[in-house]
Amino acid sequence: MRFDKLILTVLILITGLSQAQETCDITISGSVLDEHNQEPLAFAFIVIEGTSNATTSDSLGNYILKGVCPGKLIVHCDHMGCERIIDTLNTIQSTIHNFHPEHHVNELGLLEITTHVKKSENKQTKLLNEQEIVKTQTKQLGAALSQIQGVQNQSSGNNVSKPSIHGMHSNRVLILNNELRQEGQQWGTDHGVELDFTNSGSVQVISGANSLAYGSDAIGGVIIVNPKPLRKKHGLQGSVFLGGESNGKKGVSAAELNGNFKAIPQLSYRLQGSLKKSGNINAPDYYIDNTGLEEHNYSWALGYRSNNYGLEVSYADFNSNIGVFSGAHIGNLTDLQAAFTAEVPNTVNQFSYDIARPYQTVSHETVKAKSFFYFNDTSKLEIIYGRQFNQRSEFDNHSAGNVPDFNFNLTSHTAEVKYSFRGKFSHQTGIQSGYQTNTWDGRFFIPNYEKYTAGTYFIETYKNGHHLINIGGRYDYNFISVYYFENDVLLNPIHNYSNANGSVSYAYNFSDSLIFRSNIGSAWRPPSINELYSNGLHHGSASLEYGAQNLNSEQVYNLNTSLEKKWKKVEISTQLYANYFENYIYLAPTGESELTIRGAFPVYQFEQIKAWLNGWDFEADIHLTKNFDFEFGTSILRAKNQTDNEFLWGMPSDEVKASLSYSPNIGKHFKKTNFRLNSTHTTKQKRFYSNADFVNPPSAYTLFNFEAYTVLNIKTPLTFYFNINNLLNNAYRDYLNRFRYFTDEMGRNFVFGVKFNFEVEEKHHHHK
Amino acid sequence: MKKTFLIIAAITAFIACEKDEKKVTNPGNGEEEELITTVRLIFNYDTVSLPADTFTFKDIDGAGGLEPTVFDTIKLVTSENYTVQVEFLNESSAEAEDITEEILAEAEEHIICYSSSEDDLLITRTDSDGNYEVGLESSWSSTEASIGTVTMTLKHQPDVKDGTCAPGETDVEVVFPFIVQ
Repeated sequence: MRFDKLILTVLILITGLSQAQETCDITISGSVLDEHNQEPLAFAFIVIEGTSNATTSDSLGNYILKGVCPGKLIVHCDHMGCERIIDTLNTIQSTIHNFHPEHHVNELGLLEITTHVKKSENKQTKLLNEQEIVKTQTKQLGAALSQIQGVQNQSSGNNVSKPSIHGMHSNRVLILNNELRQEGQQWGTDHGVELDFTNSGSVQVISGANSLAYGSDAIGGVIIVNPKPLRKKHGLQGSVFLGGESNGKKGVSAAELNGNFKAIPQLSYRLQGSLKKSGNINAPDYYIDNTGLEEHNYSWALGYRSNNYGLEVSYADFNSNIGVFSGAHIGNLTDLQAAFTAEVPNTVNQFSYDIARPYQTVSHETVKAKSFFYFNDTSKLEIIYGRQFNQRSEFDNHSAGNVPDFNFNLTSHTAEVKYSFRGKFSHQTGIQSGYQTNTWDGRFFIPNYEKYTAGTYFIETYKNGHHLINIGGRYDYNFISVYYFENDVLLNPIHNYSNANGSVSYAYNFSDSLIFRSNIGSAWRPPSINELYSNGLHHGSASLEYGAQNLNSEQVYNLNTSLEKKWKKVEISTQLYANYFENYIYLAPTGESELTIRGAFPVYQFEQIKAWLNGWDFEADIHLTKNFDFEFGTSILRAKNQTDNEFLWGMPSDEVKASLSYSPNIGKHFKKTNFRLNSTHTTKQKRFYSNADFVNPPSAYTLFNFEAYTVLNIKTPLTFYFNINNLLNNAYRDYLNRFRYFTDEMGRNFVFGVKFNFEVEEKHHHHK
Repeated sequence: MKKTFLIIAAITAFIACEKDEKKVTNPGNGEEEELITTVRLIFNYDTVSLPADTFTFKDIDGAGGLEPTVFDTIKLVTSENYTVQVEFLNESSAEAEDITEEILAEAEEHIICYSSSEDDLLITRTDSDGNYEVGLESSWSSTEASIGTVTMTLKHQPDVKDGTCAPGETDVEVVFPFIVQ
């Protein structure tokens, strides 16, 4: 309490001081013109470093930044296909400043219409900034993305996590990793996302019409993870990351090298790799047995780029070996009861790096080939082919040796052609096709299948003055051929699903400080293989799960409205959304039980219901003083099974986040220094379906985290961060963790990381 | 540098191809290695020379699917001591597999627990893995006529066996009805 008062006093003092110091009322304006032909460049993104003061150039290449504080300013100008320009201005009055990007016609960033979307007005997008990415390098994707309002971490223990957007995850969220749909065993929450997060240059979440370019099934949204684009300048650039966590004694190392050949300037390459290892993590009162993790990943990319065409080949290999908490591997309902009534799990209580049974080994290998052609400055054609192998082996408690109890092999081929045109009317269209096979051995869980997919889409964007309209449509066809034995007879059922969906978005930019957006659309997904064919015991949840072969596609209609308002000291953004599911596929308790040699098990059956998932996200950022910021956010979701007039179970409960950040200037050698104290309060989920679960949702909890971040800006910048997660070492359980029956969450955790960036440039090469 | 790349590319392409050999149209027939379908309790009379009685629980297709095909009630006489052997079998395929031997071989990772709903039926384990009891062999003594249930549990307790039933994972849990008359 005394500490709180101290901070408050300090805050008030500093607020007073800084207000006396200066008024931020100058304007910086100018044009963005092509270096070569002086053509105006529209849609360039201009931002003052260290602030959220940003704008986009208009169709005549003009921009204006208002409310700028006088002094030394570092201004970034980004335009697609150009190197970022970073200019330093030292000004005490309103100034005109022009940017001259070198506009090579070359590979655009993935989302050409959307770079820095949070500030532009044409897309419902949220992204992690560089600092947020770096600070979560030792974490999983789900945990990293939960920094975004409305995104939660859906997990099975500490090592398996995936993002949940507005209560939707797994099959309802599309993950695009390096431009390819991530094809893993997405069913259920007990499989994580098999990608190397240390390789991500940008991470964003999009929804609305633009998500149509990636699939019909982006019901909750699309998560786009991309590596940094290949280097276009001569020379070498690279980074080395070293990080660790005290809890689990985790070590993470990663390195990346980006280069461009001097002799063949069209040729660029990237090499990247990472290693992770951790042991048993500890909850505040005990070690959580067998929760170690090993991961080793590497990737490379090679790109050839001439003036108007290019070719890129890349390869990525992800390998992990994940211990599964031994107390979560249960035999029957009696074990489950015993596990969640036990004060301390009945497992070995000590630290170890050893990963024993039960464990999973997962590998995911991706090959991508891409070519692109520019017809002119505004239109291009891309052809992308991808192949992914996903192999998962699960090792139960039972058998011994190195033989897995079951194995899945998922092979996916995808090919797509897309054309885009950029202008007052922007246009994107494409055709996608895919072929996937799944095979297994060991214990039966889901059958072999072959899947053929085909889809086509268009997205039109019209921008005029304050208005932005985005319209898209899509049609998909899915053919699934399933192979399995029943009573020694080979069966081969066929499933066909096809559907159209579409979306209309509208944004109105009242002024630079007030933006309204609304989107109405539909999405659908075919039932996944486990929903059709699950047949038997689900270890770990002590239930019998049965698929239903006659399931129809899941169809959803959504409406989404948001408002962003910026005042001088306060920025708010608020989003209201409604999703109506025509036939939500869900695992429903039948109320029956079946007798087995391990006792009676409750029976669950996949069913389709009408459902509503509605909610509200709110964020506010208050610039208390020049150095202090207060951020506040809340996410509220209501999920209803309309058919049975019951709540949907397993949905995130209401959440409130608050953080106080202090960004001092600690000398000219340090940049972006930031100290942050944040807290998250997660309420107890009171809206659940009591028949569906064995235990009521866990109690509410409040967590505190401390974060420190700085960049030592010497010749080769060094980024440091230090976090303390769960500062007060609270014992708590999270409703979205499937292991909540068995164990508390991780206790206090000290996390640190150092990232060393280096660049070797060719001396004679002139660059801007 | 370019050569290195070509070599890496060639190697990875080669490795990549190796993984894609499985035939999707030729699925397995789902044989569970460690499936236990049958529990057999063999009762030998300690005081009279009568042939042993056997009581069985059998669920031939494992969890789910068809209901158990055999589920006996244990029938005992009053005031008698029995030496009981328990057997675990996998009878899902034509050639039955005796899992009891595996349990015996890994006795230090397993325990079998018996819990009677009635005090009149007393059950104690009589064998040992060297440190703790196992329960493949037990002694049952009946007194008066009674009706109730015996819960028989096979626990798998790698590294956590402490002589009690609490730790580990349940492999078998059958609630046998019994009659002492």
